[in-house]
Amino acid sequence: MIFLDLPSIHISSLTLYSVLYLEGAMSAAASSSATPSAAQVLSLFRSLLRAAREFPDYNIREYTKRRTIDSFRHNATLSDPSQISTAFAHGKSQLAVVKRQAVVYSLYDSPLRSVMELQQVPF
Amino acid sequence: MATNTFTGASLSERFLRLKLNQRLAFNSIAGQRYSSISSYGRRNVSFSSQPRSIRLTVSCAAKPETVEKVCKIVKNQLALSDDSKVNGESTFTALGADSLDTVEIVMGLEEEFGITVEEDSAQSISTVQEAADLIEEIINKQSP
Repeated sequence: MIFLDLPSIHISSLTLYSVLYLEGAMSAAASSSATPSAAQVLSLFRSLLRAAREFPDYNIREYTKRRTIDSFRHNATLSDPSQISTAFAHGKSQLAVVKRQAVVYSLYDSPLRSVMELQQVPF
Repeated sequence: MATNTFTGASLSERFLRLKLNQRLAFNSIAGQRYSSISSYGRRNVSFSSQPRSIRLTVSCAAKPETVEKVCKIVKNQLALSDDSKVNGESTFTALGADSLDTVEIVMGLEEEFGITVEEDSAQSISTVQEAADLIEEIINKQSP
């Protein structure tokens, strides 16, 4: 799978990120029969990173980017064509989820910004 | 004596009268357009203009500051030590980057310079210098 199962984390953090993954828990059974090419995989990787940028919230934005990178690196060792196809299909479904949730989060964007986003330390 | 002017060429009324039944055509390149005038008689003058494809290629090396910035981002992305030598000729593969790293580097460059790199262009980047040149090209295109 492109995104691994969520670890057992603090409940407040879980509520923050669960919307991404509860909706994204759809099965990847609809995987295409043809094995995706390296260019297609890289294109999906790029698309996920681009979509992650759209989140207005720093924490979710960085979490999505980190999760994408870690999962692609984890699956870089896959050699079985069916596993690759399944992972690719799951990644595509997750891309749709990320795009959709980025829109939802932008509708309810908070004016407050994370201290991590500041270019200069204010003290 | 009346004068008709078309794209810098003047045809006098007297000249048109002399060439009543004769076809006159001349070509001139004004900018990037191919222009022609055909005269079949005094009252029948047709003017046609069509685009002419002229290709200009301007190539220039990227600014040293841009190359330096790219080197810094590449070092940061690949977690290289500060004393490791990265210059314009350094290839990403030689620095230990795989295809995923290359995509991440390009994304990092996009964020740093506030640009968007097309997918086909991103795939063609293999060295620091190529990345810097592409960035300069995109920035120059964006600025009016």
